[in-house]
Amino acid sequence: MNFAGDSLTWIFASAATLLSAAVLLFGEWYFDANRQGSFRLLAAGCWAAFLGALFAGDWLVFVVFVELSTLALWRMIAFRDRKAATLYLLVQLAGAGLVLIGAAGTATVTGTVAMGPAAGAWRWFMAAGFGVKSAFPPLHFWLPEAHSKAPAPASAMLSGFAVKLGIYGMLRAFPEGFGPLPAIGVTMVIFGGIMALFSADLKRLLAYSTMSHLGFMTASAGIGAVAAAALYAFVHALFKGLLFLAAGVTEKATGTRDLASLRGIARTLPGMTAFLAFGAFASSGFPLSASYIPKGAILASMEALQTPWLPTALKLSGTLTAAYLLRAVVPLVTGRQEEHPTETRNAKKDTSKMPAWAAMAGLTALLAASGFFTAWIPGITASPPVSKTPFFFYLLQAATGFALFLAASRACRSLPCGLPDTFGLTLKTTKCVFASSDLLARMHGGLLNFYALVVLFLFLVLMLALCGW
Amino acid sequence: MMPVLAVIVPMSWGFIIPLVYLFRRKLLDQAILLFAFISFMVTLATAFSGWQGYNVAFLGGWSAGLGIVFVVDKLSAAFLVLAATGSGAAFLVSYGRFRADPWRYYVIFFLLQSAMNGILVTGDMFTLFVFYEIFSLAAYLLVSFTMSWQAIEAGLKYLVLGTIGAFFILLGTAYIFMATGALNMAILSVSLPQAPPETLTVIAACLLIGLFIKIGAFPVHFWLPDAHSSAQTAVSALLSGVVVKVSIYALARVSLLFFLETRPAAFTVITSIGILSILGGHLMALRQEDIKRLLAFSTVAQIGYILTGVGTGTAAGITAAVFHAFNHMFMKGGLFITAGQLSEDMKTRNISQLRGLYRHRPGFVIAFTVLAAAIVGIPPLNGFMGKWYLMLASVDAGNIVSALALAAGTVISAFYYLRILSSLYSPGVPPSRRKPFYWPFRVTVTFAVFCVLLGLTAFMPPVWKAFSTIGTCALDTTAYIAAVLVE
Repeated sequence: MNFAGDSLTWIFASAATLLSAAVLLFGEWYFDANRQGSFRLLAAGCWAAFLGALFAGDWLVFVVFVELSTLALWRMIAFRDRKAATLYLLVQLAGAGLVLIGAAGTATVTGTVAMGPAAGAWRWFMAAGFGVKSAFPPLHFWLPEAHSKAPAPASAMLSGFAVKLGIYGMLRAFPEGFGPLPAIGVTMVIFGGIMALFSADLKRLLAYSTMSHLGFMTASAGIGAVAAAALYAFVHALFKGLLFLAAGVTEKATGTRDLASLRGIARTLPGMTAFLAFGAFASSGFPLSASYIPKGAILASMEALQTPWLPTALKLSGTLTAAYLLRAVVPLVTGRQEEHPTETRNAKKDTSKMPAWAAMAGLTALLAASGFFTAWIPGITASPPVSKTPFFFYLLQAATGFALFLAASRACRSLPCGLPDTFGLTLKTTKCVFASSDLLARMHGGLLNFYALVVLFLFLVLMLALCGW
Repeated sequence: MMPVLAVIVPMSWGFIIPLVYLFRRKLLDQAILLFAFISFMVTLATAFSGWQGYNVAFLGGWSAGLGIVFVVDKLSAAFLVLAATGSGAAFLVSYGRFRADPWRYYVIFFLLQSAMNGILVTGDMFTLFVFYEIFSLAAYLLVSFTMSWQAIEAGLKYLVLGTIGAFFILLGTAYIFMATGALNMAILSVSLPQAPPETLTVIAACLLIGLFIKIGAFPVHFWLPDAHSSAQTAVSALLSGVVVKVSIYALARVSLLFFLETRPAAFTVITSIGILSILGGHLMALRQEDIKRLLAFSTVAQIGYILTGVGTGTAAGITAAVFHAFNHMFMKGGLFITAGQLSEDMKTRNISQLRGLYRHRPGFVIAFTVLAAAIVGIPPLNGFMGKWYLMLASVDAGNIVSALALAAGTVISAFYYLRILSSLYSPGVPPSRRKPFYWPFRVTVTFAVFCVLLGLTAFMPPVWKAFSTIGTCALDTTAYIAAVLVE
């Protein structure tokens, strides 16, 4: 058993701590009395598991704590949707298994399981395992389901930190970078952006937006820009946490996540809309937003390389980001006021909402500070160099993003919204597994003649196999 | 001397119990308890006698070439401890439920224990077959002991398929004798390589398939689901936990002594059958409605895990396999005992009808949860550590498919154990009467605690180093031969 910690650990650990503290505080309001106790236990356990994974000194301990955090999150998702929870658990177990195989292979090459770079072909297993955790396409099929159907505090922890464990693993396993990752990252950014743009559901939009941001971090890990990726992960934890918590309050107050039904909610829930708008701005990457410095740092490290397509593609993706963020926020503000079965109209100003507001306000304050300087984050010694992009470029992005948003809204009004994703493939795979199971079951009919024939058949096969060639 | 006692002592109880029943019936309760305790201690003592070095007993003073030899080395010692613990636990569960009423059951039980110890200590091929016959007969009778029609049908299937397996083992032994003129395992380890290669192929095929049938490896496992699910609770726990492990020991011993240099393909065969068992067992368990049948198929899959460990042919692999054998005994023993008690309560073995049991018997259900988490491979329990060491050994030997099968197995087993757990925890109408199940409960909880302890201690390097000497000793055929061919 080994534990170690360096500055990379500290950045992620502080992100985990800040996010978990906010979520625990939020949970005081969100859950009613009979779930409170279990939620506190699970959230605190999950936090402890995150820290255990981050401070692990070897891969085995890392996987142990990651799986423990998976168990805690599974129970939390199961509070609301058991099928999504089971999907999450099974997929994460598969991912952890792949990481274990990669670690075992690395151990045969390097002789030790210590947390270090993966070796040779085993990097593919590690990448696949982390890809399941961090939603590489096509291994991402669980993400929209689990993140949107979980209760808000669980979604915040999932999108805010659990997926980052895959990024952390990648940063540890590939400190020099790994070839396919930048391309996968760019695919994630664009795919996530398009799916988010055409989402019908607020939390699903946020889940795809997580995938998009993870693409940035993956591409950064792929070129070996460890510090920039870590900084982005830190800031992402904060703003994604804020967005999911605010979305959670909105869902609890109105009873729906559907973007069409949430039009004009700004009049009844001004505070939540403000938090959502601030969180969206913080995630946009525009100057003065919290993600400006991290995004700029990633782009700066990419510009230092000889592959111009990478930073260009990521810079252009800003249009998609702007578009889906506008889609998340603008209808809430400008849409026509519909009849909402809200509690906020009739609810008295009770102090029970204080924990939720305190959590979200705290995250907002930290994000606002990060927009100006990042030196306060533990593990960051100084603000990293940022890519020099003219301000005009951002205005252009905002304009084209707005146009894209209008086009998408028009499309969504006439067509059914929500593009199909790979989830259908999962169902087909599960059906295949069950079909093979039924086929095997037919062999167990109880006929002794058949069983004896199988024995003879296997005997002949063994004779052939053991021929000694 | 000790290895002989490990065989003679339980066998003599088998013959003395009817005498006690006839002449001193009042003493039967205490007598059986005493007999079980003495068997347990003798088996453990035999195990410890073989831990430091080779403990070889020459029956009648004849040397290896002429007589029968019993050898206890670290591999045998580990399995003897496993057999003692498993049998002891199964005895406690039966005794706690029925006391000494079914005295014939205890006769067969002790004969089975004697035969298992015999297989574990024997150094001679034909003696192996003889003990296998006693072992099989006792197992068939124990399976059909309840005399329900399912039990009798299961016992009959086990008898027919098991006899086919024993036939192949005998055929292999006969070929060995015809080819080399010797039956002692140490002598054969030296002289089998000189046999003609075609004969070696037939010998290997016969022995392997005979042992695969006894182990219950896919695709010759068809007797196992019926036998393990139709037996009584304690017998199921004994069968799944101990009886299959003894056959795995026999397979390991025979393969390591005879086929390591002459037919390395045998190990590839063992690994492939292991992978087939993992996939076949887990896929079959996926659709089961009957909880004990599901656990039996889960046993087939876990046997596959252990076989992939044996099939690596390395010290690390054998160690991982032995470790997982211990793990499986604790996990599956506990699961079968709990399943047996819960299905007795609800008068059904159907999973979807086993509802509301958390309110009714919280202790059992919590223990079941821990054991199920262990067998799925959730850290930091022993199933996860077993899986990790098996993965490490497989990858080291170059078998990536085994490692992938292990990972896939975790996902599939998580699915079907979750189904059972969600049924147990869901609200339902529990039965009104509640019979106390003291000994089964204590045994189950002890096993669950052992699962946690084994999981945590396997992390510690000193403990694992001590354990890995089992693997290195198993592969050390030169030392084995030297210890036996002393005179």
